[in-house]
Amino acid sequence: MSRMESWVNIFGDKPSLMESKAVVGSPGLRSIGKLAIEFMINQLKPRLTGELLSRYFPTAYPFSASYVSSPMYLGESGVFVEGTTKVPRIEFYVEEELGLVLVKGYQADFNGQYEVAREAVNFLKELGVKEIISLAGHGQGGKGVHCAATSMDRVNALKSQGLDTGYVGPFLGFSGLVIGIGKTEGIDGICLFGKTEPIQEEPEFPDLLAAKTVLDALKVILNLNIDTSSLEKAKSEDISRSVNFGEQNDRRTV
Amino acid sequence: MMKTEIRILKRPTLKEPRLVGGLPGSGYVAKLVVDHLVKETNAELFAEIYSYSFPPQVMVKEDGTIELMKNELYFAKNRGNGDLIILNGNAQAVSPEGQYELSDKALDFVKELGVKTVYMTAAYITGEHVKKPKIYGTATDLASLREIEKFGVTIMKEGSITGSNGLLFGLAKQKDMTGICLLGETSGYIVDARAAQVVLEVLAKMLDFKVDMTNLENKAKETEKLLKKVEEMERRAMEQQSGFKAPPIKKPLEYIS
Repeated sequence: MSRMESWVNIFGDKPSLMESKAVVGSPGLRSIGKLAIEFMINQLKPRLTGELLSRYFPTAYPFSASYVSSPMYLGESGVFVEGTTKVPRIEFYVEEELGLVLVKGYQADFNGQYEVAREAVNFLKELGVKEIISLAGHGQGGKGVHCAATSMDRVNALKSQGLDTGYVGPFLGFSGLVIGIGKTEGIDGICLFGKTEPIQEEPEFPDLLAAKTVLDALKVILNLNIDTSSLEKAKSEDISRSVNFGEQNDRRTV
Repeated sequence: MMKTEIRILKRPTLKEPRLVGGLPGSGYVAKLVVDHLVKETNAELFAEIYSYSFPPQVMVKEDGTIELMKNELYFAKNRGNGDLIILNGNAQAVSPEGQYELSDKALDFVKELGVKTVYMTAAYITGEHVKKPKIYGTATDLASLREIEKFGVTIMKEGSITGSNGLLFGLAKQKDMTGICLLGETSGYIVDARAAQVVLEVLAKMLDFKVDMTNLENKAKETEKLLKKVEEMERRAMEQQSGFKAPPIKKPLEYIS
């Protein structure tokens, strides 16, 4: 291979973490993972420590985002304008005191998902991560959280904390692959799936309450003290228009 | 960008090993054959194959554990005239390039372990459900064709076998191994344990070993019960709605996956 196709840029000094845990959230079903990770980043104010760039991050989706099965849906893609301009990237934030790495994921195209997830896992290993927790949603309706983990021991530990398994099937995209690839590297993995109702016309339309439910489960697992009540008060419509989707929401090519 | 990695967990010493493989495809016929074979022979996992060409996802299983998409190689000692290597998996590579790369690496690997003949399983789709599925077969050389014919296999005259289940035995010839494919007749609409059972019965005869079929037999009976119910419901619905019976499909659909 003549050149790197996915790579990590590190900002400032590399933090020295021991036995740290990573929390991952990416664009996907009802934006649950994305909302949850953005909320944590806003609350904990961690330091942006690294970014992962890849030629597999689509500048436009020719058919659909690689984590959705609906061929009609066009996910986020292209260069983002949020005051300044930035290319699509995966962001790694570090909260040293808590020993947490927060990963704001992104979806590569079909050909690049594995490579990108592999590079992300390599970087998390460098940061001393021993456990990855992915936050996402599953679209079988209802309320609450289903959990899954890379080993029976972990599953049983989650059950003893009051969580239930129940979702059976594929977990698509970046947040799932980092768990799977992490497992092959000896990193434990946990998934928390917020139950939600899929919306076919706009699969990423935010489900704030589901994101809150997932974060509340995460708080128990990490023994974390953050106030998630503001998610209950915010309106999905406002989040959709102003914060998360911005210019992308009207589907114009900018 | 195609990366396929074989992770060797153990290096078994094998006597006259034959490869039997089947990856998820139509009717789950091939997958059911190898799942059953792994279980009934108490086969031991010795290598895992990971590939960037598998679907970009992980699988959450019934017990709440998560695994990456992968193919697996098992071995079972002393089955018939030698040992068995069994290729199983929860996915096929998605792209043709990925399927070629994976097949290439997997075949090189089993050849090193002494495999001379590759037996792949697959589904022969007709679009119609039958009580006694036929076994179709093909091979990479004429002598093998004549050999499998002796076991009641209907030799395929034409057609194509798509995906990894086809490529894995087709490419065997390129590597100076013999490739044989056994296909169970199936409608293509259901998970077909009956088709898997008939394939495995013939395969066991060919390789001269015994397998307990009880679990597959039970699965097949459950499916057949369900099918009867569905047929009955459809018949009633049709009679109520239109008062006439739909004619059967005269020319059945036939393709292989």
